[in-house]
Order: sequence, then structure tokens, then C-alpha cells
Amino acid sequence: MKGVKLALSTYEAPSPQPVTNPLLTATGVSMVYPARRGSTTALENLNCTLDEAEFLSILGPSGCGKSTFLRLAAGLLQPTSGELTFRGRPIQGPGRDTGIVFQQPTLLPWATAIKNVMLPSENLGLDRKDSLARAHELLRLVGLSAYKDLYPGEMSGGMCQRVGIARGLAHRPSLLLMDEPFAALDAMTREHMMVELQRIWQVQRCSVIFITHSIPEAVFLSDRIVVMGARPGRVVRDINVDIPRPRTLATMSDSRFVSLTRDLRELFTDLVKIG
Amino acid sequence: MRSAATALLSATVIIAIWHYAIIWFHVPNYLMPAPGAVVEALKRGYIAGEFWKHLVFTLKSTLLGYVTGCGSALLIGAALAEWPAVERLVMPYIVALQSMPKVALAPLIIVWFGFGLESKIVMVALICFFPMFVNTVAGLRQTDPTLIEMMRAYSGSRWRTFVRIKVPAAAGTIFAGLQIAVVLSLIGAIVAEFISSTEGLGYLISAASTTLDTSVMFAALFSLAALGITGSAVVRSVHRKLVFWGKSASAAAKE
Repeated sequence: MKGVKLALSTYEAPSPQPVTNPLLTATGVSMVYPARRGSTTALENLNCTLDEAEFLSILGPSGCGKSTFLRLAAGLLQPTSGELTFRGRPIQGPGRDTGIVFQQPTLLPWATAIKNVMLPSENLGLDRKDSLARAHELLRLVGLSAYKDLYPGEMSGGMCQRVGIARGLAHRPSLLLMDEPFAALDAMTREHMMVELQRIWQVQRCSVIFITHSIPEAVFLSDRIVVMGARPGRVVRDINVDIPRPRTLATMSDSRFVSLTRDLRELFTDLVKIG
Repeated sequence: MRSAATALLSATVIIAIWHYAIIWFHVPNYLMPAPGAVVEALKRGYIAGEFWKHLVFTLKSTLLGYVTGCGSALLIGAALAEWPAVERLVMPYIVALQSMPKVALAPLIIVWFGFGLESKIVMVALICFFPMFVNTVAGLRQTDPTLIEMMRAYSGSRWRTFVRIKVPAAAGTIFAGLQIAVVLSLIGAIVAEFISSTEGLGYLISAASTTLDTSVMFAALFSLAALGITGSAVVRSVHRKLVFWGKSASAAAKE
């Protein structure tokens, strides 16, 4: 009886998950950048939560402040008003329990892949032997074991970005922030990386905030999608993606996948019209 | 291999022209020595004479001055790039010093530091300082801001950011400064020796000029050129060895 109920609930229509203990909470967050004349409001009264082990995508047109939100969550910026909390505590600066993957790989050109992956652990002063073992494990996970001694200049863009993802997970963070990590890759590599990321995430099971402006990418990867509108940046819609995992490229022609992407595209068209 | 052959060929041609021009146009010895006479002077100087003593003196003052000047430029440049307060405090004096032709300071330096090695070292250090200083500051400041932000996001301390990010990022520019300083340091040493010295290749040149011994002057000049070329080659090879990612880094940034 219980089993049936559980199975049913996974197929239920989008209903907000019970917010028992969110990992990250944004309450009334606004971000105003002072400009030469007047000021630019990047985010206005943004409310959002992220649960443990949840994959959340933030989807929006350019200029909707999604990167600003990520920087706030990373503790690289402080909001003008409102509050962001991580495990109930206000975020005051970059946290030890957060990893970040940038749009560009942002690797050290003078360090090998494995050295790059070890950087966060070294910064945090974690045990060297453990972090080395962890770096090896992560490079295996992203499929780069054989390339651990290569320098970024000797690797392709896709390989560099995988190293960047491995680095993001090096210190076993509970939260991984990803700022359009595949935006700089070509379409083929992009699709491949999307499948890879799901696989990696299913092994690591941390919470992810994934910034993107690609609808299929967001639908493929996410448990939940927050759609943002521009000028000022605000949450327009919060959607649960109830497509079972693991999702494959074949899932992308699944009727639920197709209808969800279509709905999102329509929503987007309206957003751009308004903007 | 091919470029070496080309260089050898062009050198042979130039020396031949030099040799025959002196014979055909009857150029007197006190104006321009024949290549053979220069070789003779080099042989005499290095085998029997005192060339080694002079070479070692110039080399010593150049090296010690180079290390002192570049070292202090590196330290002050790094402090200035890291702390704006240091910049406000130090920058006006450095600009004033740079606006002054250092050669004009040479007599004063002799008064302060004597006729010996010390005054030469100070002169070399002074002349090396500025290009090295400018390059250090520029190199450290031009560090890719995204790398610095990445380091901040991963809780990197200021010291670690400096050592792991900024210094390697500035290495190429710093080596360019070291390269410029090689040539400048020789200028500094020779100028100081011209003004007052009893040793060194600069002294040798000015001493030979009083007797119109152009072959010795040429021999000293060639020795100086050899020093400069060797110094540059050493700096270049260290540069290549240490900053091995140079090209690949810019390629990675483009992707």
C-alpha cells in the first residue's frame, strides 16, 4: 500500500516539495548596481529555496540577473537588501561547503589537470593524501584519468570544463553552483556534457544550481526549474520536472519532455515580448 | 641549422668587406682596425694580457648590480601592486627618480660609494630598477580577474592567491623586464667605469682611446657584446623553462 502511494506521488502533477530543511533560502533578495546615471536593478525581491540533493536550474533570458544570483549564492556578492541563507545561516562570504563552475573553465594554465582539481582542497588546508585520492577519483568520474598530467593548454574546451567540474566537487561541497558551464562549448560537446553531468551528479548527489538559457538543457538536467524574467530580474515561474531518471538522449523525444520544453518556450517568447 | 648557416655566411661576408675596405681605402689603424688586428688584440688580451681581469670586474659589477636592482624592483613592485597605501607612499619618489637621467647621477654615486666596485653596483642597480619595477607591477595587475574571483570563491587566502595565481600570471612580463635589464645593466656598468675606474671593460675602452688603440677598443666592445648576448640567452632559456605554458595559455583563453 505504502509502495503504491510512493510510486503515485512521483508521478503527481507539480506540487511544491515539502520545505522541511532547505539548503539555501533567498528571501526578498534585491541587487542594485549603482550606475553613472541612476542605477541598475539586477534582481528585485527574489524568493527561492533549494533543497538538499536537489538539481535546480535557473532559466532566463540574458540580463535577467541569473549570474548575479549565482554570485550571491557563492558569497562573492552581498545583496543590496533581503537575505540569503545557507543551512539557516546568512551567507557572508565564499563558503567552504560550496563549489563553483564558471562559464569559462578558469583553470590555472600553469597547473596540470590534477593540480587544478586539488586547488580547493589545498586552499581549505584539507589532508593532502585524501585530497589527492579524491582528485584521482573525480578525474576518473569525469573520464579524464589518462589526462591528469596534461596542462589546460593541451586539452580541448570540453576537457577543460570537465576538469572545472571535477574541481567544483573536490572538497565534497553540499552545493555546486554552475554558471552556464556549457555555454562556451560546441553543440555536440554540449549535449554529451549534459548527459555526463547527470551521471556525475547521480554519483555525487549534492545540490546544484545550474544557470542556463537553454531550455532542453534545463529540462533534461533538473528536478526543478525556476524561470526568471529580465529588467528587473525576478522569478516568473517555478516548475517541477517529474521525468524519471536516469534520463537519456531518447528521453528528449518523450512526450512529457517535449510538452514541457514547448510550454517553457512559449513562456520565454512572452517574456522576451514584454522585455 | 639552416639559420646558423645563413648567419655564418653573412658574418663571413661582412668581415671580408670590412677587411678589404680597410686595404682598398687605406684606412689608418688609429681610425679603424682590420679584423685581423682585432683578433690579434683579443688573443693578446685574453691569453697574455689583462682582459680577463677587466672582464671579471665588469661581469661582477653587472651581475651584483643586476641582482640587487632587479631583486629590489621585484619586492617593491610586488608590495606596491598588492597594497594601494604603498603605492601612494612610494610612487611619487619612483616617478621622480625615473624622470632623472640616471647617468647624471653617476658622479654623485662615485662621491658616495668610492671608485671601486660598490659605486658600479649601485649604478647598475639603479639603471636596472625601473624597467623591472614597471614590468612587475604591470604583470601582477594584469592577472586575469576571473582567476582571482575563482580563487576567492574557493576560499583562497590572499597569500595563496598571490603565490599561486598572481606571480605565475605575471611571470611572462617579469621575464620581459629581466631581459631589458640585462642590456641596461651593462650600460650602467660601462658608464660608471667611464667616469671613474681603474678596472673593467669600460675602463679598458677609455684607456685605449687615449692612445688611439682602436683594436683594443674593438676587442673590448666585442667582449661586451658577448657578455650581453650570453646574459640575454641565459635569461631567455630560464624564461622558456619556467614559463612553459605561455602560448598554450593564450590558446586556452581563446576557446
